[in-house]
Amino acid sequence: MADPEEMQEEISVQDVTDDGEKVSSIGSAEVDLSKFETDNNKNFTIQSQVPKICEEEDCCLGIDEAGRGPVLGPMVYGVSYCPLSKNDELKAMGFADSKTLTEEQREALLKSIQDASDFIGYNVQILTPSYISSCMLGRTKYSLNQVSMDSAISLLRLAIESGAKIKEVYVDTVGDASKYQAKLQALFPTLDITVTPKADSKFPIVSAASICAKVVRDRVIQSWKFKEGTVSATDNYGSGYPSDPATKRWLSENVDPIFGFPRFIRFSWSTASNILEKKAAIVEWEDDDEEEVAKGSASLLSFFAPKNFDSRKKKHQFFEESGLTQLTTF
Amino acid sequence: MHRISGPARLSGRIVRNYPVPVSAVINMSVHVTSNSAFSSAASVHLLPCTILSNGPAKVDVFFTSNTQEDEVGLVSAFRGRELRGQTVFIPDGYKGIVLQELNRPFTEDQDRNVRISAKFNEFTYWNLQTPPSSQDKVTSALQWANLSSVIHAPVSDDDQDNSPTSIEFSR
Repeated sequence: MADPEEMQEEISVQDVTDDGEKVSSIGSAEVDLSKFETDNNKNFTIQSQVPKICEEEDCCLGIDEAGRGPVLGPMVYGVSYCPLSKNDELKAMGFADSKTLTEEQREALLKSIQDASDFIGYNVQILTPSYISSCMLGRTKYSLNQVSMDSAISLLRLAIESGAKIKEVYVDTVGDASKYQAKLQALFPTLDITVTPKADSKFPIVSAASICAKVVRDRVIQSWKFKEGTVSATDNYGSGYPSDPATKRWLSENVDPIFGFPRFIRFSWSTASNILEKKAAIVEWEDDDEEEVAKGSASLLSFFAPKNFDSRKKKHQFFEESGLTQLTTF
Repeated sequence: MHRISGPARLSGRIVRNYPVPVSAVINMSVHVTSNSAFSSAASVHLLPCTILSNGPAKVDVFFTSNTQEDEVGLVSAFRGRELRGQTVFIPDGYKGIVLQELNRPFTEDQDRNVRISAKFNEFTYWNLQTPPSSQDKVTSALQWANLSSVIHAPVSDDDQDNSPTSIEFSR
């Protein structure tokens, strides 16, 4: 009879969609994005196995993000965690801020994180450009800071719910550090939370989280399947940062007059909307002037019936509510 | 070729078979040409916005390819904004047509030449973020077809004795 623990070890990476559906995949040094690629407009969460030691000992957890600034591609959030007792082993792995490392170094470090699956666990969430755009351009504004914090909170919650004994949390700040800290502390009163700028260079566990996030973002971008089919990921769109001339050129050359851009682009970025204003058809939405209308008060005249008003000519309420009017021309 | 010319008094009546009231005003004629080749069925989308442009659009490439269906209904996006949609069928006895006017006259009293370029029996109705419901104007407006045929139906002596005709609302 097979030992159940041994069987569990073979399954080292688990993919969990946002619907909570679990799919197991075998292999340690790879990031399986096949499930995500079936619908790359939808957010997706990758979850590692929780190391047994993390269920038994107090752990520290780091939170960081990759791809906050670019006008294209997803923003990826990552958390990683390990027992406090393994701090020396963690330091010895040579983590640093993911931005100061080369792509090869980051890939190698993710491999070593995955090889250390006996004491390091991680969760990564891919927030798609479609999701980011629709949040920021929604009827009620949902800011990027809010989106970021909610993603961080959901990943921390996921780590706790999957059984890791989290004690200390280190977070790279989004906006004002003290406000963010107070918010997290209120949600997780029993945790010891530190929110600080540049946390990824101060705490190895945050560096590990930033490497997980950055490698996943790079992989997603490299293998992005354009459903629009008009462009391919091999096209040179530069770094994706709005300040990059290659990115700007690519955006201006790939405008569709009606639809604007493929959904790989964050429509909510001013770089994107400025180009659309110049090169695409103007689009008017029903809620465009909602804010202005709400500000102003109704004209005094609107309280009186117009001079020639004949109430007998007034249409039945049904027609008004259905938006039906009679036409004599078109 | 249907010729609807003035001075006809069609105003105020919805002409059967046309969801768009085709009517005419005095001194102007509207010629509607129905090309036999127009059997091509158009896939029509009603968006919660106005696009200030008239002409072809790569709907399949940018829009249909990104449209998905979930528990609530159809979900897509336009210019980065989330859209929620549902398929709406044209009421019985009516037809959906796409009219095309190649040259619009400069003055209002000139004849207009309009061509039927495609037809449809259903269209996709999209709302911004909120899923479409029976409370929406479009679904409510289409109930008029059903309502109208009931209230305009001739009343026989038998009907007057019996209970009123029931009206079915689609929900």
